[in-house]
Amino acid sequence: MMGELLFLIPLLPLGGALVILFAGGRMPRRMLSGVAIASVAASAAMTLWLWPLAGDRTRATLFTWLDVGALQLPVEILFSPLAAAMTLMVTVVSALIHVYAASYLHHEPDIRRFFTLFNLFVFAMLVIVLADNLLLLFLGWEGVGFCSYALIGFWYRNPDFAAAGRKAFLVTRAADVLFGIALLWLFRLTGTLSIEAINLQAASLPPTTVTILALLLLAGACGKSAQLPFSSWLPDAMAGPTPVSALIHAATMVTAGVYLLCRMFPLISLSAIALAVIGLIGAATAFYGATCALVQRDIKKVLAYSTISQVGYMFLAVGAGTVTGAMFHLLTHAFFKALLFMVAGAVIHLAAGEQDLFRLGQLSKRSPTLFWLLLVGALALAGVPLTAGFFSKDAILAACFARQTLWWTSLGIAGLVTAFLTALYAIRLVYLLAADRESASGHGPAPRGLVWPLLPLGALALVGGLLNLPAVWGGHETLGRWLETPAGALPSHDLEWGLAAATLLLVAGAWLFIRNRYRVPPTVSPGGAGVSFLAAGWQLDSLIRVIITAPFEKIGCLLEKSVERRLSATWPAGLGRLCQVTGQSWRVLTSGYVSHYLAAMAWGMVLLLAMLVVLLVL
Amino acid sequence: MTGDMLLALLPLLVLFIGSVSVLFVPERQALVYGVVCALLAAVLAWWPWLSVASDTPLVSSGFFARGCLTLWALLGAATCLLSERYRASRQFAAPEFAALVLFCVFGMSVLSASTSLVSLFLGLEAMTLAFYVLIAFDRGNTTGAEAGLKYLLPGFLASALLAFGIALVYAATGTFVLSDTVALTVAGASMHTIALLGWTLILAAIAFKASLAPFHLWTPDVYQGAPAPVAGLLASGSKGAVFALLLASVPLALIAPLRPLLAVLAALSMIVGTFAALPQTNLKRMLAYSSVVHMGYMVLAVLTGHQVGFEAGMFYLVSYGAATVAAFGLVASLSGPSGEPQNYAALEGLAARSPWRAALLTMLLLSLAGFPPLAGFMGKFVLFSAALDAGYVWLVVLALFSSLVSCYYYLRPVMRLFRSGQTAADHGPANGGERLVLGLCGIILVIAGIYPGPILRMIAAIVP
Repeated sequence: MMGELLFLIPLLPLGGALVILFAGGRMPRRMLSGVAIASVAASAAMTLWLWPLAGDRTRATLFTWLDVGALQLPVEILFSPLAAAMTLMVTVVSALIHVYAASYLHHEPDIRRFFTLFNLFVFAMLVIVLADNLLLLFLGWEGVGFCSYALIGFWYRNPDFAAAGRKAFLVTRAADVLFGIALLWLFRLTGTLSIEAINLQAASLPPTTVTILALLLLAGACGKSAQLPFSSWLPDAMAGPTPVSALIHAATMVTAGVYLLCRMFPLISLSAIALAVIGLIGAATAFYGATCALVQRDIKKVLAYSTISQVGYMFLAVGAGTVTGAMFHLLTHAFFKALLFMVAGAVIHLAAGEQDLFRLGQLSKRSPTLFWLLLVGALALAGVPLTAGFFSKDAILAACFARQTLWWTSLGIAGLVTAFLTALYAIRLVYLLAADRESASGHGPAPRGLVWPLLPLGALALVGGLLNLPAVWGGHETLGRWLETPAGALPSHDLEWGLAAATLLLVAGAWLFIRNRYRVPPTVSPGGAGVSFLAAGWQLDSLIRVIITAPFEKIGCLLEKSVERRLSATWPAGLGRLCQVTGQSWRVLTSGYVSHYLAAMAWGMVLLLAMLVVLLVL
Repeated sequence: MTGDMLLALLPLLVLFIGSVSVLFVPERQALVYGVVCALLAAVLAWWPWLSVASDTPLVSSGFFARGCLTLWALLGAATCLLSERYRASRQFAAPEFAALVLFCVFGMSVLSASTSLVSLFLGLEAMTLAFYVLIAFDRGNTTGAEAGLKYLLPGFLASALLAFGIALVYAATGTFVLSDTVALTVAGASMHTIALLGWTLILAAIAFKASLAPFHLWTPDVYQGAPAPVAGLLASGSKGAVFALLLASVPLALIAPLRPLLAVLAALSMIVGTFAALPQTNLKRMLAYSSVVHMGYMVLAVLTGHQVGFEAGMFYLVSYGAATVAAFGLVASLSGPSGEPQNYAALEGLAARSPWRAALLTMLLLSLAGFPPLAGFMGKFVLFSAALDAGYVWLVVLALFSSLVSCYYYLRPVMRLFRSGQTAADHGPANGGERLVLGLCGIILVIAGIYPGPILRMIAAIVP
């Protein structure tokens, strides 16, 4: 019975969305945002209450959606420890961001649309997290994609923002096609769509198939998680309101790809090639994102590239075989990145919409609380020892080095280099925001609703490492024991100490470098070719334009002129006209004279009898 | 006749007694009384102590007969509810109207429950007689009188064919019992040719009632002239009852030589109905031709000749019936004293005037066209797949093409709904009864489309 209650976790936000959608117009604003917050908070409370069920991997079926032959589609959820941890993170972070959004958008006229989509997003995300059925998961997957699209383009009157939403939708859709292929193929091979059943049967599949399947799943995950080569949508996605960036494009949706790989890990781990590719993509993306984040001038773009880079670490972790490490970094990243985004939102709010880092500043004087929160988030991001980010990142690097092969050692070194770059841009962000310069004027202190949701996240970013404190530091690896997921190769104690020392040195070096460079507030400089190359995200957009979009458009134009016009206009129009003319000419039959009708019946009779005679004679 | 038999036939008796006694009910309560009688019959059909199956003569009292009776009784009740306001503005005599509707439901129930050629004839004629009057009920309307005549004269011919066919079948097989006559014909009795001739005549009569081409020409004129609620009952109930008979008691597909005839009737109905519906600009005439097409689809269910196909056919009847009753109900509900909004031009701007009714009309036309996720899609899906399994590939291909073309004529009125029109409304808001019926039809269309499982299971439980 308790099992069925699990469905309330996703259904509460859905209910909230429906109430807001249908009754939101008649509600006062406070009540509307209250409903949105309450439904997500209730979902979080529900998760905590039902937490014990996760220990027994409770599954519950609401109803069987389709039952046609071999295709059985139960709407079934699996509350495993992995799902439970993710659910708790999603609901708690969502609840905090909902509170933040309520005061962030206090001038926005159309908060009904915003909160409908926001609650709907939480519902779809929870469907991904809880579903035990790949098709159900896929529905949630597309649901979050849609909400992301609609919320990026929330201010759709600005054509650039609307285009950003469209881009996000199209890029992720391209990856989703590959995911869809994997899904259908898996059904074809195993006759089921249940993730657990597929994982159980995976060992009996031929190795090449498993490799291709794992790569297809990887492609789907890369699209949603903005990994190379599908990463270009995320920086543009910053067009959405900042709470959207914090929730969807930092804490939850972009990590759905990692979560998918974690859920499918028993299948993926059967292919060493796929794991190597996942690690490579992760490390490459992490490096790529960090280099781009170094030179961004838009505060939100720094964080966007940083997200791409950090999610790259999670992929690296999955590739290195440590699902625990990936989940650990996923959770800590959700805390500190949501924190950073919301601080950024508050900073932008204080500066009346200014997002250029070189025009912002004096944060430590104008709002000390926000400055401290920023510092906490940046330290965790930089991986300063003893913060949450330090432990989770080191666990991933340790897992790489512990494999002791050339491939993984070099990926680990790439990860270390990236860690240095991460420290650089994180500390640069703090220095630029604290810089003593004429900054854009704005309105008074940050409203309390913007600040207090940040406090729990700040605390988690500081001490989140306790979740999975390694044995070297006197911990018990609580998260790993709870998740019961593979932790990859075990690093030696020397390796862990060495990594900790290396991280400390890198962070200290980064700090010294940035301090020298930004002690005096820098003036706006155009920068060289290298800087603009990095700022444009390695020209990835232009590359995609040349390789894919432009040829695609050319072929499209060609087909439109030659084939399409005939197929869609000339021939159907002719056929349609033929049908119309036939219909018109048959109208004569219905003349309105009863005698004609009787005659028609007689002829019909003759037809039937003639047929009968023919049949009997034959 | 024993007490058990009387109990088993109680729902039929309630309908009959109701249709007589309603004549003594005052004008204002007559229609409500009719609704109550119909619903009472529907409830009695499933009342635990009364629903003992008994070996009744002429009409069966099995689950299928009860299920059909429930359907027709609900349709009758819906017709009465939809007629309330329509009648008031046209000064119909309510008791007579209710009596005829109940009698009509009685005829349909006897027809779909009949186990003998005699009760088949009686049921069919009882139903048709009531319709003759109902169609021409609006004496102020000359097209109504014309429609009545156009149903009457071909109807006589069809009755003659039916009677002659029954006589021939009886002569060949020596029995009136339906299952025996079919079995004997299949087995090839001594006068096989005579029996086949008889069945062909019966088939022609049935094709008239079900308006299969080329016996369909009366349909558009009659639908156009008949009062909208009556046309709804005629389109859903009378055709439904005929097909219920074919699906349950007279499996014509078992008689091999009749299969090509059925297939030709189906094909002709789909082709003729589709093409003739294309140029229509009158909603009721378009629905008439669309019903010709749908009845062509229904013949596919008859042709399958097995349980799954019959179930698919019944499901299709439910989805088609709900959409049709709602369509004619909407026409009735949108009628003012000046007449029915039959032409597409009269529907212009409806979405702005009465958004709910416009939305419902859109939805049910889409359902008739077979758009997912509505009932029409699910109905076509189960029906066509059953026909494919039975091997009628070419008919299914034809049906798919005609469904494709049908989108054109179903969407044409929909387009007009959302165009801004200047026509002033002469209809008021829907009254309670109309809302109830239209809302229920809408719910059925959605539920049967999204979650058809329970309905399919219910049908599977009653189809013999």
